[in-house]
Amino acid sequence: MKSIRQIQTWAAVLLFFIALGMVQADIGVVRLREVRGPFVITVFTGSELVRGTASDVSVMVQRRDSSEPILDATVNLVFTAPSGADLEHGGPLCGLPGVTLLSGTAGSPTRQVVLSARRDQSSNKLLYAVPVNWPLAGCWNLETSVRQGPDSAKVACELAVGLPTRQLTRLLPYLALPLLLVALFATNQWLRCHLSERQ
Amino acid sequence: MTAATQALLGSWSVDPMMTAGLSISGFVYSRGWVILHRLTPSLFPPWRLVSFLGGLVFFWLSVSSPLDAFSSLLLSAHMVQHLLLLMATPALILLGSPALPLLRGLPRALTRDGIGPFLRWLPLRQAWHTLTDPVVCWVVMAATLCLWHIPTAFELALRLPTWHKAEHVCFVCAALLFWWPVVRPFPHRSRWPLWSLPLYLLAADLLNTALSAILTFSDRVLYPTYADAPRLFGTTALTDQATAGVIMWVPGSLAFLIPAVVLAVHFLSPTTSLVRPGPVGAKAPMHGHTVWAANQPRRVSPSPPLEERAGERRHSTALFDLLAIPVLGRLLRSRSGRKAMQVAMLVLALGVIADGILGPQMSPVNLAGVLPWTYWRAFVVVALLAAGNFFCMACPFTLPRELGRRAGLGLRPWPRALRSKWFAVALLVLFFVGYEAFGLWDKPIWTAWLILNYFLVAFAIDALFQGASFCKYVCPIGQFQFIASLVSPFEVKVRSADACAGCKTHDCLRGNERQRGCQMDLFLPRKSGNLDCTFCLDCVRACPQGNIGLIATAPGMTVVGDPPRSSLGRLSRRLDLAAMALVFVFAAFVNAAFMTAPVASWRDDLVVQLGLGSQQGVTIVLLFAALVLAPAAIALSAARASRVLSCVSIPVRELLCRFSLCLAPLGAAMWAAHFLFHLNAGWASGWTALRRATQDVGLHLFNLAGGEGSPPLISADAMLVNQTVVLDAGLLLALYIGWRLALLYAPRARDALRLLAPWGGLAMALYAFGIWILLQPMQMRGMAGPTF
Repeated sequence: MKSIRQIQTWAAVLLFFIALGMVQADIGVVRLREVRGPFVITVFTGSELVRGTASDVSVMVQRRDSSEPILDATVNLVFTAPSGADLEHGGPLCGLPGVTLLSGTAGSPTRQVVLSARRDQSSNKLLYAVPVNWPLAGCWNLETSVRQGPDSAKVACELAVGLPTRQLTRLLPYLALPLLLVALFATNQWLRCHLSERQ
Repeated sequence: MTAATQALLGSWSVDPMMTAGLSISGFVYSRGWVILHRLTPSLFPPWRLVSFLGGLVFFWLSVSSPLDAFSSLLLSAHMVQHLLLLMATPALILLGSPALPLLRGLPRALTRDGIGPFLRWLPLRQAWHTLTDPVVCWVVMAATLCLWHIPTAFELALRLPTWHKAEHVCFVCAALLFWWPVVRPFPHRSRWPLWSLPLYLLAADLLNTALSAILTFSDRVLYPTYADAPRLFGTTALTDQATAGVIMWVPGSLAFLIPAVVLAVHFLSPTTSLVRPGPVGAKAPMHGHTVWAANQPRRVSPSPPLEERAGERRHSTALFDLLAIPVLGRLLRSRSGRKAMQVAMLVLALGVIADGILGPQMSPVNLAGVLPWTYWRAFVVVALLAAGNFFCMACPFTLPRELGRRAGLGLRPWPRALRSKWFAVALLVLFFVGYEAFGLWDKPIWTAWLILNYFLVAFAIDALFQGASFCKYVCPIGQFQFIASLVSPFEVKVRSADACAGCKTHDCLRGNERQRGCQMDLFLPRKSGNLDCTFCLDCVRACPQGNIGLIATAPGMTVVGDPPRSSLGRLSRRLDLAAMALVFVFAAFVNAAFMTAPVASWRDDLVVQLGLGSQQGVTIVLLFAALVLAPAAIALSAARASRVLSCVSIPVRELLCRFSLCLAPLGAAMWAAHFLFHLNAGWASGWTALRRATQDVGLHLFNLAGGEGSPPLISADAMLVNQTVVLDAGLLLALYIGWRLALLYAPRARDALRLLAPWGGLAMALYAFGIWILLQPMQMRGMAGPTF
C-alpha cells in the first residue's frame, strides 16, 4: 500500500514540475503591419518557423480610423511554397484538426494553399489564427486577404522557414528525465545508507 | 460590453497539464492541512488553507487568464501579470506555511524515505540556510528584477516561449525567496530582528521605484516588440509603457510598503503580540516577550511525534476499491453487466468477421482492417495501464464456453503435460511472426478468418476440458494481457486477510450453489498479482462475505515478492513465465521496428541480396531470431553476468526467471506508444469503415461526411513527446522493480547494483532502441494517413 501511494504521488509531483514548465499562449512576433484600405492588418507568427513543426499564423484586423479590433471579418491566408517546390500529397500543410482548407487539391502538385483563419483557433480572441505545419523549408510567401462586408484588402509578406533541429535535440529534456530521476533516487539511497550508518 | 471587450475577456489559454499540476498541489496541501488542523488547529487555522489555495489561484490566473494572451500586445497587461507572479502569488503561498502541510499531505513513506533523507542532509540544510538569509533573498530578488527588465532579456522572453517560461519561473522563485524572511512561514525561525524587516522592504521599494521611474518617464519605447505591436484601446506604445511603469510603481510599492507599515506598527505596539523566536543565544526583543497572535509556536518539530496518531493510521490504510464505487461497482459485480460487455464485443466481432469476408479487401475501409488493428489494440493497452485486464472481462471468445457447459461438456481435465505456458508462448510467437510475415494488418479476410477460428478453437477446448483451460494455457491474447497486467494499477484481491482466515468453504475457488468459483484455479488468499486473472469476478460473486474487491495496487510490485502463488507456484521457478515476458517485451520493439522505413528497406535489401522472390521467408527467420533466439541468448547472458558480477550464489535460472519479469513495464510502455500512434493517426478510419459497411447492406445510418483523411488527433510533435514520456515511465518502473529485486538477493547496495547492472543495461538498450524507432519515419501500414 505504501508503494501505491508512493508511486502515484511521485507521478503527481513530477506532473506538477512538468506542468510548471508548460505555461504558454505567446502569439509570436509581428511579421507585418500595414494599413490597407479601411483596415490595419497585423500578421504574427512564431519567432522560429521550422519545417515539420506546427506553429500558429495569427492576424489582427483593426479599423484604420479608430484602431478598434474587427471581429467579424473573413480572413484567408494564401501560402505559396518556395520556388521550385511543389506541395505534394505527402506534405500536409495543416496537420492539425479543425483547419478549413479552401483550395489546393490533395494528391496533385501545387504551390499554393489557401487556409481560413478563425478566431476560435486562437487563444487570443481578438486574433484570427490557423495552425500550420510547414512541409518545406525555404522562403514562403504569405498573402493575407481580409474582407468585411463591401470592404476588402490584401497584404503580403515573406516567411523564412528553416530546417528543423534534430528531433533528438527537441526530445532532450524528456530523455534527460529518466537520468535525472535515477540520479535523485541514487542520491536518496546513498543518503539513507549514510544516515543509517551514522545513527 | 463591446464585442472587443467580450473577446478580450474570452481569451483564456488554459494549459491542462499546468492546471492538473496546480490542482494536485492544492490537493496535497489540503490533505496535509486537514490532518494538521485536526492536531493543532491554532497553528493551522482555516485562513492558511485559503491563503495557499489563493496563491495557486493567482498563479493560475496570471498565466491562464487574458492577461497572458495580451502580454505580447500590451506592456501594461504584462506588468499586471508580473505583479501577480512577484507579489500576490508568493506571499499568499508562504502565508499558508506550506512546508508541513505539503509534507504531511504526501504519503508518509514518501516523506520519510523519499524526501526525508534530503531534508536531513547537512550540506543541503546549510545551503538552504544560506539561501534564506535575508541578504541573499534581497539580492536574488533585486538581480532577477533588474536583469529581466534589461531590454535584451525582456525581448528574448517576448520572442521565445521557452525564455518566457524561464522568466516566469525566475520571478516566482526569486519572489518566494524574497518574501520568505518577511512572512516567515512556520516552522521557519527568523534570523533577523523584527525591526529590520521594514528596512528590508523599504530597500526593495526603492529599487522598484527606480525601475518604475525608468519605464514611466522614458521618452522612447524600451522594448521594440511593443513598438511594433498593433495598438489597442487608443493607446500608443509610449503611453502603454508609462502605464506599465505606473502599475509597477504604485501597486508594486504598496505591496512593499503595507507589510512594512504593519510590521513596524506591530513592533512598536506594546499591547499586540508577535513571536519571533530568534536564533539560539539572541537577545530578547526590547519590548518583551512577544507572541504572534497565538499562531506562531515555539519550536515544534515536523517529525514523527505529530504523526503517531491512531486517526492517521486509519486514514493511511484505506484501500481504494473499484467495486465500491456506487454505480460502476455494481455494474462490474453483476453477472448481467459482464454479459452485456461480452455480448457487445461479440456483436462487434461478428461484424468484423462479416465485413472481413464479404467487404472490400482494403484495410482502411474495412471493419476487419480498422477495428482490431487501430482501435481494439490501443483501447486494450490503455485499459490495462489505466485499470486492468478489462478485455478478458469482456472477452467474447468465452461465451461459447457457456454453450459447451450447458450441453454437459467440459468434463476432462487439461492434460498434465500441457499445464504450463510453453504452448501459449509458442502460439504467441507464431502470432507475432504470422502478423508480420503475412501482413495481417492489411488483409481483412485473413483477420476475419483468424477471429472466426479463434472462436472455434476456444469453443472446442473449453467444451472438452474443465475450467478455463483455453484462457489459462492456450489463448495468446490472454497471455499478452496477463503479462501486461503486471503493471496494472488494480488487482482482484481480498480486502481483509482476517476474513479469509476463518473461511472453510473456499467459495472463491470451489464456488457454491449460486455461483461457480474461479475457473482459472486461483485461490484468492494465496493469489498475488494479476497473472492468470481474467477479471471475470466469479470469485467476487461467489464469496459469501463480500471480501474480494478490485483493489488499487502498486503497478509491478507483485513481481518483487516470491510467495507461492495460487495455481502458479513461485515465479522464481517458472521459466515459461519468464519466456512469456521476454517474448512480450522483445515483440513490442520488434513489431514497431518493422514499421520503420530503415528496417523495412534493410529487410528488402536482404531479400534482394539472397535472391528470394518474396520477403516472407526472410521475415519469418528474422522474427524467429528476434523473438526467440535473441531474447533467450541475451537474458541468459544477463543472468550469468549478474551472478558473476555480484558474486551471489543464486542459480542462473532463478535470476533469469525473476529479472525477466521486471522488463514487463518497458514492454508495456512500448506497446502503448506504438498502438497510440496508430490510434492517433487513424482515429477517424472507423467512422469511414462503419459508414461504408452499413451502406453496403442498405442501411444509411451514418450519412454525415467526414472521416476520410482526417488529420491526427494531436500533432506529430506532441505525439512524439507523449510516446517518449510513456517510454520514460516504463523504463523507470522497470529499473525500480529490478532494484527492489536486486536488494532482496543482495542487501548491500554495491552488490545489488552489480546484480542489477546487466538487466539495467538491457533495459536501457531497449529504451534507446525504442527512442530510435520513434524517431524513424513510419510506414502507415494499412491506414489512410492524414491529408489536407
